[in-house]
Amino acid sequence: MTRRSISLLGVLAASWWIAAPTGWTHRLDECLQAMRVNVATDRLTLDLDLTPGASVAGQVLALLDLDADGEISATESVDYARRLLRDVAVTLDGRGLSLHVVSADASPLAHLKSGDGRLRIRAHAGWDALGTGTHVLDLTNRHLPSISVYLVNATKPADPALLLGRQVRNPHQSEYRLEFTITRQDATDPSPP
Amino acid sequence: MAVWLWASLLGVVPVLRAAESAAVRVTQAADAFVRTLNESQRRGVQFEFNDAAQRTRWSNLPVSMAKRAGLRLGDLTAEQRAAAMNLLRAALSERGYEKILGIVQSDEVLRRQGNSTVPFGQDEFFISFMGKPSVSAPWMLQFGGHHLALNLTMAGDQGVLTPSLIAVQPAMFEWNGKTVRPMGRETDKALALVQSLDATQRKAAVLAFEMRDLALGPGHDGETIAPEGVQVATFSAAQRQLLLELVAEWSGIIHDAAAQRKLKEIESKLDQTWFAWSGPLEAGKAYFRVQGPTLIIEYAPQRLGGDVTMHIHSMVRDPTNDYGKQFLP
Repeated sequence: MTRRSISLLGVLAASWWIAAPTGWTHRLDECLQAMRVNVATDRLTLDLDLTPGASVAGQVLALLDLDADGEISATESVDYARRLLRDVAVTLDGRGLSLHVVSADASPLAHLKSGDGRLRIRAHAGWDALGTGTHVLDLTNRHLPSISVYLVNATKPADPALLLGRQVRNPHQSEYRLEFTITRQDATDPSPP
Repeated sequence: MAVWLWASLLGVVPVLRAAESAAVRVTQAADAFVRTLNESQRRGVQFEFNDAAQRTRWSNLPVSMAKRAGLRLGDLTAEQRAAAMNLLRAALSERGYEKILGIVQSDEVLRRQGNSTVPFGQDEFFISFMGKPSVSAPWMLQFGGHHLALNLTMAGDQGVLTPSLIAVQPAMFEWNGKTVRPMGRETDKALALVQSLDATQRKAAVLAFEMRDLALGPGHDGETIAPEGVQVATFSAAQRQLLLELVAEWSGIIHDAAAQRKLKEIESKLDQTWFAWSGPLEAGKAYFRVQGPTLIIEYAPQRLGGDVTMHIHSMVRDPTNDYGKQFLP
């Protein structure tokens, strides 16, 4: 890269910063995907908040408002949640799990367009009652990777017999591992309702 | 008489007096504010104590994007506005009031910079009550707008200021010829704490992934995530002191009597408390979290164009007593 092109880039960057709205007080060009992971003896619950910034909302709305009627119906929300979950791979102790949508609620279209709306998804994956000992949950989120910021955290189980261990993530949190231990066989179901 | 004497000797009475005077002082300031209002405004400021929608009607977003309810400061007369700010001053510690004032001023700086159709500025903050101000019955004072949400629940001599969103942009600015950093102390104290950690502690504290935002920001009431980082149980006395001084930047926003009680509670649970850091070891550039049984503090610089140190979001929560749920019958 020549010194001139570097200078030009500098000028462009400075111009962009000066021209950028000072009202840039919330996420614009990124889509926040914040996930909470709740494990129980018989199932996994994922809660995902997807919040697109205003300048990338169009990409999400194209997937969400399929009939382009300017409204997000309950069916469209659930359909989109199903397609999103196809991009989320989950395994427990190395065995693949199927996620199914429990609920999907979208903010009104105007809010989604302006960057203050979100889609809230709850999904479950069932499994046979787990035995005592340590288990490993692996999760990969490949939904909208070019525009997304990922957060993923385990929520505290209600059941004291279920102990959370290490959480391991890649730098961008699109890949996540949770180790947890069941300390007694009759652990009750701590899943959220 | 004998009980009073023993209580005095044990140092209980001064604490009770301080707490009682805070409850009385805040209620009197609330009453004085209400007396300046007309009938329509009195209806506008008042909500039922159990109004769940109003309780959670707060956000980091500008008021045009996330509507607030209550009385807007810009719609008040100078006398009414002074009474509203006097109420805040009564409800908060001196340093807490100064911090909140700085956050309001920072939004005014955003407004004066222009170039935006979004309504910013010191007129765009809202005040409301949930329940009637009382020296004994539970009630809430809410104050907030863009980058600020104070949820203060009072019940007699008890008070909690959780959940509250404390944020700022720009994080440093000039105001009447002085440099103001509303969240400067917490930024500097956090760096001092992480720098005080030895290699083993730091390895545990510094997370190997990016935390680009709050995990438990607005809309996450009632959630508790698993703690991560380094356990404070491994801290030296000096490191514990640094942590408490950092925590006090949030727990000490409320008036002194409630703040002292809260800090003692936090101190009693330090061995069950965790400290995590994500990002470079530089002031204002990294996410950090302090999490204990009765406390979750998150601090998240925002990468929204430009210098991340100039735009900070933070949350303080008490998973056991948000909105003063312990005070309710």
